[in-house]
Amino acid sequence: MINKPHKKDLRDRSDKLINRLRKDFPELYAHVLLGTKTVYAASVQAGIYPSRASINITDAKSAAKTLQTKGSPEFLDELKELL
Amino acid sequence: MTNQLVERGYLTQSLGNASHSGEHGFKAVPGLLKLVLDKRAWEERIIIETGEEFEGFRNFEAYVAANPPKGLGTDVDTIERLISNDTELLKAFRAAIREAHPNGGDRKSKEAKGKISFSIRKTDLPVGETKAYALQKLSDEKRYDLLEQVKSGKLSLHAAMKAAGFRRPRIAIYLDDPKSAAKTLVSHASPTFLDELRRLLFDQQTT
Repeated sequence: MINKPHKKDLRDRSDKLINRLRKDFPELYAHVLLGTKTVYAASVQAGIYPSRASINITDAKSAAKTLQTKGSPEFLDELKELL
Repeated sequence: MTNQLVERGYLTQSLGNASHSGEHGFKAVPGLLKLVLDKRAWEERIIIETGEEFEGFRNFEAYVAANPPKGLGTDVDTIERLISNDTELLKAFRAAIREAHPNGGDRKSKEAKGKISFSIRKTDLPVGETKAYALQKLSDEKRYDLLEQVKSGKLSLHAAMKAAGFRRPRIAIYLDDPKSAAKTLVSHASPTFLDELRRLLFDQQTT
């Protein structure tokens, strides 16, 4: 019997990212094993996964706050120009 | 009445066996579970293996966890995996599980709340962004119109939750690529939202 992965699991990239961290970034991998970093935080730091932010598109105040908290000053400057 | 007790007995026996039988389980469990929920097989019944009359379980959750021949001898997660393709059945199953916790919430005494508990929850009721939680929430809030649309495939569960106002529409943007972020925002957000966002970002810069 073949157990097909659940749809949810198909979108879950954590296994791939963990393998990549173990292979190429052992120090960050150690942090993940110790629980001091999440798989995604370590992957973003390693540059193998893009840094992203989830923006609420019904509330501009909330969106601005999220962007200011998570985006770098350079990112915000360029975004303002582009918007 | 005797017929009903025997029927419940046979249903329990069949569902218990099916939930432990791999591929067969995927085919048989949904149909049997529908009957078990419909006939309330966890209540008073005859135990087929021994012929004795059993007073039944107080709730469905206990019935699922109890060892055969009285219970199914499995767990909620296993049953959920076996019926995951049938949203209607999943909803009914969750509703039966919730019967055991009609009031919900943390109902421990003040003293008990102060103590650290090492017990493990037997049943993880659905939370957050899960499919099960969305079904439960729409059902609890009596949004049957949206549930019908989900069932017929006209609407995704996420879209239904957004339409009901239980989830806020969000988009993910790349924080290392302003061009991509701007493009995503412009294509998804309303002009009013973008005007307000521009104003807030520029205000922040000037202050």
